[in-house]
Amino acid sequence: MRRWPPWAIAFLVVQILVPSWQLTKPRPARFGWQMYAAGPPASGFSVVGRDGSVTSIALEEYIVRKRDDLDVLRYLPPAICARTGAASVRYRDAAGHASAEIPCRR
Amino acid sequence: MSPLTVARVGIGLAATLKALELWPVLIRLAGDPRVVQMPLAPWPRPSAAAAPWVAAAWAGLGLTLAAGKAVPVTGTLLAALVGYVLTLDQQTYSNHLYLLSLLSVLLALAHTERHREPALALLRWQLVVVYAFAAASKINADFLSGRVIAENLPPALGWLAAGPVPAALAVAAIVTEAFVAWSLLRPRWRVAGVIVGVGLHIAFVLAVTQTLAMIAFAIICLSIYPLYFASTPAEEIP
Repeated sequence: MRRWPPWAIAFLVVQILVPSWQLTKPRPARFGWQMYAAGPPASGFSVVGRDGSVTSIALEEYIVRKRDDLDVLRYLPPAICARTGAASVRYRDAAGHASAEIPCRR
Repeated sequence: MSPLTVARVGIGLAATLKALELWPVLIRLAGDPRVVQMPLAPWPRPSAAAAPWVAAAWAGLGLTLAAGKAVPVTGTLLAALVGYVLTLDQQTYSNHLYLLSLLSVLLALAHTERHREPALALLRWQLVVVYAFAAASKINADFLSGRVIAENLPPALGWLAAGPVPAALAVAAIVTEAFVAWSLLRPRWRVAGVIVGVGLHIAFVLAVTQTLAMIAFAIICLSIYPLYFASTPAEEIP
């Protein structure tokens, strides 16, 4: 067997270590070949108005490309709050069953 | 046509397809203020005017690579451009683009005298790594429940979403991907692995809603398959 140059060994090691490390994180994680490995962390977003009314959100107005690995809970609630002036943002959890709510900061 | 030529043409054409797929995404990401920015790397973002040129350069590099022009240069530039796009925003990231970027740079290296042999070996290993981790990552309750498969079926196959079928398909997907990864580096099993791999990609194209993305992914992966038969890879498992 001919010896591999250091760059090739490093390339393969990175290609094994990074996806292995990503397996320890919630799925789907990026750079781990986790294609269609799990659903999104949240779905079914809606806004709860100050009067208690609930209006569903069209995600296409906020997201250009829906993916299961988007950090939707980090980026979407602040944007939805700022744009709608809602009291809170409601969503369904990863399993799609229970609903949770994030209050909007004033 | 040599196996390396098949790989070069396949990856070049798939790159062009992916550029066409991402073209409207880049334009809207750059030009629509309603879209929420989800940065992955702190790169400067293309302006609305520059975004179409980024996509056009990407498509052009893909075609140039497929044509075999200055492959070490075009492959490296394509890898860099695709790498830029996939780390630009969470919404432009995809595993297919990541794979395309890695294979482009390996293809560039495979067209140099000095790095040809290790690059060819890595091209073969890369696909094994992808299939293996694709299978491993699917071993979780959410995927095994069949929910992910049921939600991604096209309307024409909606009847498959009922009962225990999605869960059975989930197990089948894991077993199939693991088998392809296992068999590709084993000479005795390689032909079987290729046949199963081709079937797997046909199933992806037919049974996943994102048809264009699945076609590009199939072209990327299948164009590497002939490399497993090119010579006796020094690193293979007997």
